[in-house]
Amino acid sequence: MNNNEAEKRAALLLNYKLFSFKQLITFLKFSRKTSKDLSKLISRSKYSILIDMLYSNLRCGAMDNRDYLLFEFYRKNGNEKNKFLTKRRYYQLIKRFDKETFINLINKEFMYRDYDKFIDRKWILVGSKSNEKEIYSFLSQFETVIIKQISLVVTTFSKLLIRLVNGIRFDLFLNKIYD
Amino acid sequence: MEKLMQVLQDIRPDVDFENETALIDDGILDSFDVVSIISELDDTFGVQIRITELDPENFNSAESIWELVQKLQENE
Repeated sequence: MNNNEAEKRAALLLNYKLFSFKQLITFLKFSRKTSKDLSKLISRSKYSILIDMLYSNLRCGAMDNRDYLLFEFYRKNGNEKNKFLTKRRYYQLIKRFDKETFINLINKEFMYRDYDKFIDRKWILVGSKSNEKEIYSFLSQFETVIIKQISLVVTTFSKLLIRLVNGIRFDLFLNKIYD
Repeated sequence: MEKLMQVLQDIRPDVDFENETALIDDGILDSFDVVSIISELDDTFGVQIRITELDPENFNSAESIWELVQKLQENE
């Protein structure tokens, strides 16, 4: 990612609308598929899941399917859901507590490279050009790893929630990852 | 207050919490620190703060954080 791209992302984040009608329509579109697939996985009506997803979005800030699946909101009640730092809440925090320059900085890959010695842990960037072999070989060195920006995809075929970052699967490492 | 100072020092040992009065305004604490502080306040003082209720002014100094803790304890 070059500097211009990082600055654009920072500006997008700062100006990000926390709620809009268009956003809600997109959310419902994706939620329809997720609720359908998830209903086969957890034996619950797809309509009840869809309503729960909508509730989780409006009341608890789970703006996309990722939050709902990652935090297993389909297993939790309203009080439990309220304890999670969901996407909308995270953006609210950033808007209120962070300086624009800082937001710009955290979006830049070079920060991780240039300040490597201060991070005090080994790390690897899972980019669009990374290959599975390289990533898996890195992961196999550790007992515990933290993965940032993981996505979850429901597959009815394997009846699994698949964890992905840039197309690379992390299911094989479920016993050692925090996401 | 002493307990709170200990909590804050554990999270950010490099910050002078006794004298700083613009922790958020001057960018000394960021959103990540605030999340850590909220979590520690819950563990240490049993107070829960909703993110939607967070006001940067309440985190500008140790004194204002302490006032927030006391207010939340009174309300519970």
